[in-house]
Parts: sequence; C-alpha cells; structure tokens
Amino acid sequence: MIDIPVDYDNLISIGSMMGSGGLIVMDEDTCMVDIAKFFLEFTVDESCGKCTPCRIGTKRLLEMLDKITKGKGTMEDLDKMEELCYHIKANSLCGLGQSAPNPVLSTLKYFRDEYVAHIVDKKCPAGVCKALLSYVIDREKCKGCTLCARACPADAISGTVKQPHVIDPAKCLKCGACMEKCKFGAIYKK
Amino acid sequence: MEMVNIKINGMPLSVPAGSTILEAARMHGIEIPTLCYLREINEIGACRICVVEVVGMRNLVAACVYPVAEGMEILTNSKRVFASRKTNLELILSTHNRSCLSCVRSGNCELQKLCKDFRIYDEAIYDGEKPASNYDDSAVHLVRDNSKCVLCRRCAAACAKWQDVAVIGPNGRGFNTHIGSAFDQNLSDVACVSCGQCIVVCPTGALSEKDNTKDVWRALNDPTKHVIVQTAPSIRVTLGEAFGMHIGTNVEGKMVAALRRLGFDGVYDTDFAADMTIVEEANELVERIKNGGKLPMITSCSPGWVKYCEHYYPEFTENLSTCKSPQQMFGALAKTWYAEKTGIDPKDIFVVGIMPCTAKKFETKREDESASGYPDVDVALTTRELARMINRAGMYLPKLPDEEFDAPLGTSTGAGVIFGATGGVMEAALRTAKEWITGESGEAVEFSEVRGTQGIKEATYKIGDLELNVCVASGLKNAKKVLESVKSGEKNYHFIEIMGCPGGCVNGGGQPVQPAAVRNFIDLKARRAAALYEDDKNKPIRKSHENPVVKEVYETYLGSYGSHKAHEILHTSYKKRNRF
Ligand code: SF4
Ligand code: SF4
Ligand code: SF4
Ligand code: SF4
Ligand code: SF4
Ligand code: SF4
Ligand code: FES
Repeated sequence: MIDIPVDYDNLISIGSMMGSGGLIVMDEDTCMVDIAKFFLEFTVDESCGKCTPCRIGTKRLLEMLDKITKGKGTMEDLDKMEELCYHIKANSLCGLGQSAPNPVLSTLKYFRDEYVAHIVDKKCPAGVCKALLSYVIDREKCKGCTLCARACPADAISGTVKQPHVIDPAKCLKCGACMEKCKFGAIYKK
Repeated sequence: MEMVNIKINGMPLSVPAGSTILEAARMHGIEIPTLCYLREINEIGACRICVVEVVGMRNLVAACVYPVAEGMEILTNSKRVFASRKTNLELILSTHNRSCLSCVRSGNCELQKLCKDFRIYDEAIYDGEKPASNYDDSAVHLVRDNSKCVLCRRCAAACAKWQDVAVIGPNGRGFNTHIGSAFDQNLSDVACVSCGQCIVVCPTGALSEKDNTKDVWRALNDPTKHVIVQTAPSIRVTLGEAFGMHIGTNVEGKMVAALRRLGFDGVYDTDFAADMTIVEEANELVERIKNGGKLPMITSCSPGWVKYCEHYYPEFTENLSTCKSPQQMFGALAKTWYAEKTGIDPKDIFVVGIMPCTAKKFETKREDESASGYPDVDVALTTRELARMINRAGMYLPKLPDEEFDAPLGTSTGAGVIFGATGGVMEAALRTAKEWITGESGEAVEFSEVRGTQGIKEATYKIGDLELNVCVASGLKNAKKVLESVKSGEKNYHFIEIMGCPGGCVNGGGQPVQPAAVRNFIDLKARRAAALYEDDKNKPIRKSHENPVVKEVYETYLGSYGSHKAHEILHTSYKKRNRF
C-alpha cells in the first residue's frame, strides 16, 4: 500500500477517503485495525440515524473492531464483520452508510495478517493497540538507575539501585513514560 | 394510465408507470414485508426491511420508495434479499428490549411477526451496547418505552402530518437517535393533544395507552361500589377486530354480553348520552343563532380536538359548544339523575367509559367535569383495554350470545350511533335542529353531504328561512385549515363539527391496532363507519329528541333544554393552555 501513488482513483480503490482534505501518513508504526477503527468512529459519529444498517450496523462494526484491538476477537468475528460490511454497503439508504465499511474492507483485504495477528497471536504488530502490548525491562541492559521507577505514574516498577528493575504488568498503564526516560534503551514494547 | 413492463421473480408484468416496487408487486399479489412504511405519511425508506434486488444494480433498494421503470427485473424473494432482511431485523433486535412475554403488543406486533416469518434463530447475534432509552409515563393517556422502539418514525409522521401537532420526533443522531419531544421534555409538558394516533400506527410495544384496567378490576371487586359501564358509539364496530373478526363487524350484542359477564352492575350505552348531547347542543345552536351568540359554534365532544383548540387556537374556545362530551354527560347524569332514581349514593357509583380514544382518559381528569361533586367518569378504557379484560376473563367474544343494553341508560337512537363517524354528530344535530326550526316531523332524514371519509366536508342546508352553512372536519390538520379559513373571513359557517382523529372515533387512538400491512391498503375508517350507518338505518328511532329516556330526563329532572339545571350538569368550560 505504501507504494501506491496518491491519486483519487487509487485511494478509492483501496477504500480510503480523500474528500476531507486530510491525508493520513502510514508506516510500519501504523496499526491497520486501529486505522479502520479511526475511520469507523468518524462514520458512527456522522450517521444521521435514519436507516437501520448504518445506524446500528456501523456501531456494531466499531464494537467488533474494538474487540479485536483488545485481543478479544475470534476468527469467526472476522467473518461476521466482513459479512456485516457487505450488508451495510448494500442496504444503507445513502452514500454515507454505503461507503462506511470501506476502510474495514480494504484493510481486511490488504492487511488481513494484521487482523489475524491481533486475534490469534494477541499481538499488535505496530505496537499501537495498548491492550495487546506490554512494557518490559531488558535485564541485560538495565543499569538500575531508577529513573524509570521515579517516572512511573502507577508505581509499577520495582528494583533496588544498581540492580535490574522489573515492571509489574498488573499495575502498568502502558503510558510509555519509563521507556522515554530510560537512557540505556533497556525498556521495550512487545 | 401509462404502463411499463417489468419482471418480478421472472414473471412478466405490466404495471402503472410511477408506482413503487411495493405497489406494483402488490397489484399482482406479491407481498413485500415492510416496517417503517405508512402510505402517504411515512415513505422514508428507513428500516430497510422491504429491500429487494434489482437485476444489474449493485445495492439492494427499498421497495416502498423505489419506483419501477421499463424493463426492470426485480427479485423479491432471492437468497440475498432474505439474508438482508434478516440481518436488518437482527440489527434492530440488538437494540431492542426483547421482552415479548410481558409486552402489551405481543401477538399483534409487527416486529415480532417479522422475526417469526424470517425465522430469527439468534436474537442476540449482534448484541452490543444499547442506546440510552427513556421510559415516559408522564402523560395520563400514553406510555412511551423507547427500549422497544424501532425508529420507524411512524408516530412522528402521524403526529405531524395527520394532526399537524408534531410534538414528538426523532431526537439526537446516529446510534443515539431516539423518539422524544423537543429538548427531551416529558410528553405531559408539551402541547400533545392526547389523541393516540401515534399509538395506533406504532408497529411495536413502544407506544401504548396508559393501562387502567387494574382500576376497573379493583372497582369490580369492591362490594361497596356500584360499577356501571358505558360504551362509546364506535366500540361496537371495532371490538370484534381484537378477536380476529372482519373489520366493520357490529358486535354490539356480544360486547354487552361480555361486559355483563365481567360483572358490571349496569351495562349502558354512551349512545344514550350522545342523544342527550344532540338535544342540548342543537338547542345551544338554535339559541346562538337566534340571540346573536358566538358563531360558528363548534362541537366539543372530541377531547382531542378540544385540547388542540385550547393549546393552538384559544381564540376559538368561545366557539366551542359548552356541552360536555357524551362520555361526560353520561357520567354526570349517572351520578345525579340515575343516582336519585336508584337511590344509590353518587360516591358509590363508579362509572367506566369504554372509549375509542386515549384523549378520553385526559377528559376524565379535566376541570369542571364533576356535576355531582364526584368526577363524572372514574375511568376511561380504550377498546384495546376492554379486549384485554375480556381475554383475561377467558371469554371468546365471537362465541358469546347477543344481549341487550340495560335500561335506562342503554336506550338510544340511530342518531347516537353515528356519532362514531366523522359527520355523524353534524347529521344527528341536523335531524333534530331541522325539526325544531321547521316544526315539521318527518321521516329520519339522511344528510349524505356530511357523510364520507374526506377530511373536510361542507354543505348548506335550507332549514325554514335559514340557510345553514355547516362544515365537518376530522383530523387536526384539517381542523386547522377550517379554522384558518374562518379566521381569515373566507368562510362563514354557522356550525362546525370537528373530530380529533382522521375519520372520527371509528379511527380513534384507542381502537384495535391494525398493522400497516392492513392499514396501508384498506380504508379502516370507511369500513368501520359503514357498519355504524348500517346500524342507524335499522334503528326504530333515528332522532335524538325522540329518545324516550332523553324525554324522561328532561320532563322529570332537568326541565327544559338548556335549563339552568341542564347547564349545571351537562355543560362545561374551557381554558387557554400553553403551546410550549
Ligand atoms: S446511511 Fe445515510 S440515511 Fe442511513 S443512517 Fe447513514 S447517514 Fe443516515
Ligand atoms: S509504561 Fe508507564 S505505567 Fe508502565 S511501567 Fe512504564 S512508566 Fe510505569
Ligand atoms: S415490541 Fe414486539 S418484539 Fe418487542 S417485546 Fe414487544 S412484542 Fe416483543
Ligand atoms: S397523542 Fe396525538 S398529539 Fe400526542 S404525541 Fe401522539 S399523535 Fe401527537
Ligand atoms: S415509537 Fe413506535 S412508531 Fe414511533 S418510531 Fe418507535 S417504533 Fe416507530
Ligand atoms: S375523534 Fe374520537 S377518538 Fe379521536 S380524540 Fe376525538 S373523541 Fe377521541
Ligand atoms: S424501508 Fe421500506 S418499509 Fe422501511
């Protein structure tokens, strides 16, 4: 997708929208499920609420995407979601509903493996979906400077000075403050 | 008529150009299910239950709004069509408070029927967040439970397009769209006229009358109460529908039998009070004409109309006849004349009205409606609530014998019967006024110009030296047109009959609910009214002033028409109500 020239036809063909004048730049740090969710949030907000498929269907799509980004999706959900996309496109009253599922369908088409990673491996390859990532301190690299522990708003990091620190995943808020503070690159997301 | 050639499910058909797919299909016996569609007033293509495939088109189309075109090939029953309708239903169900077991509309719910027809296996398949829902029972006449609303907007269309009131409509947007009044105010705080037209068009249990059956059961079980019931003119020709009988079947005798078996101490007829209303009102009209009183005089027997007048046209409240409605006259006389006659203390008399109408519930609570010092009428039930009571008591109406109303409050004439249809009050009043003015007693005259289901009817009758200009309107949108034409001076009427509901009480907001599939293609009001006119034709007495009990009441109790006592008992007053 990255190599597709940005012109109107090409973007339509991959299901994006250019009408808003904005362009979203994507790279390997962009999670395609999250992007689809982003677009859906927009259409759910814009739905006028008149017809059934758009009023309720887009909301259900959004809920399904949300479930996937939380690592709670199943492969059946994926099929159900795809079916619902086609349903909304074919049954909605106006262009908004008829095009609302496009971001989901195109990301499903070009980045299905990312969806599968969220569902089967419970991983967000781009490291965006918070529910699916954890912050870990590399014992080898940690110098025990305590900077991270002092930066942590959740008091999730323990360890004595000059000893490798550890993050308690139950307390961690996944804010990333520790990783930013660490001068030794000892903290990473997985 | 210009025709086009189309194919439906492979069948070549010739259909009128400009018709919708739904209409074209129906002409050839092919039914397409609908949910939001209400002919003429709600053609919005919103629910997507009626979707069909048009060969060559990528998306499905809504048959209720999509016009046919030459060469069009339509599939109404394809696998894709079924799957789409089913998914639309499943989506609706995901927001629905699925509680059929306790739902007032169970068995007569359009959503329930669709779910059955489309064999929904998993009603929870799309479950997720439910839209915030509101339960509004603030008004005396109806309850709105948004958790059962499918957002078809039929209620809003009836309220705006038939009644020109528009106090309910969709609020919010997207997933949070919901039916409500402006700023989500309670229905009791807006200028709703209580007509109940929104209820009879609602496909589901989202709108229903406020159920007062328990108050009636309680009274029936109270040995200290003398519980009597009156049935409005139209009930006899609509109650049967609630038991699967043909539209327009007169079940008067069976209805009386059912009421007697429910344990009422007297089974009486509002038609008697309608006759009372006619003589009092005809007298008022003659007086107003003779004495230069406020004209045009406008009928006041429809509480939906009266409330509309008070909210929206308070400048016309002086034109309203001060006569109470038949329901209230009945109650007033029951607790005065009848109480005296039977020696029962009015405080122990419990009067129930069986009414076509939810506004009648409001009417029982109006001020200046308690001639005896106690409310004239204790409880007004709709036809639907009566049907519910009959069902609960284990009676099957069609199998009951035909019985007669009790004396004395059950004696009536053909003039009282036709009150239930638009134009009926006018005709009944004319029968009496004509005789009074000309002094000639003839065969009961039929005034065919004021019959029929048109929204506005006009006629001029030469009665003696007088050219009497009359007008009949039903449905508040039509009432508004008439009032505006009077206000502008364009029209000069002596007497106007206005009924709140289109077609009058036979089409009242308390009548048995017929699904849109029936409503859209059958003129309910005409069929029900025809049964009333038939009844009138066969009555031995067809003029109100000839009703022997009416005569007795005046001779032995009230004195003359319009007497001081008659005013105290049978007349009421009106007030301006806020519009916002
Ligand atoms: S498809 Fe159009 S009409 Fe239907 S709810 Fe969405 S925005 Fe409204
Ligand atoms: S990510 Fe935030 S909450 Fe988690 S350990 Fe690091 S600083 Fe603490
Ligand atoms: S509205 Fe219809 S489907 Fe809903 S609970 Fe009532 S009967 Fe059942
Ligand atoms: S009762 Fe009549 S006026 Fe009130 S909301 Fe319903 S249709 Fe409108
Ligand atoms: S309340 Fe009834 S008529 Fe009104 S939108 Fe909801 S389901 Fe339709
Ligand atoms: S027309 Fe009849 S049913 Fe309708 S509001 Fe008036 S009295 Fe009630
Ligand atoms: S869209 Fe046709 S009946 Fe609702």
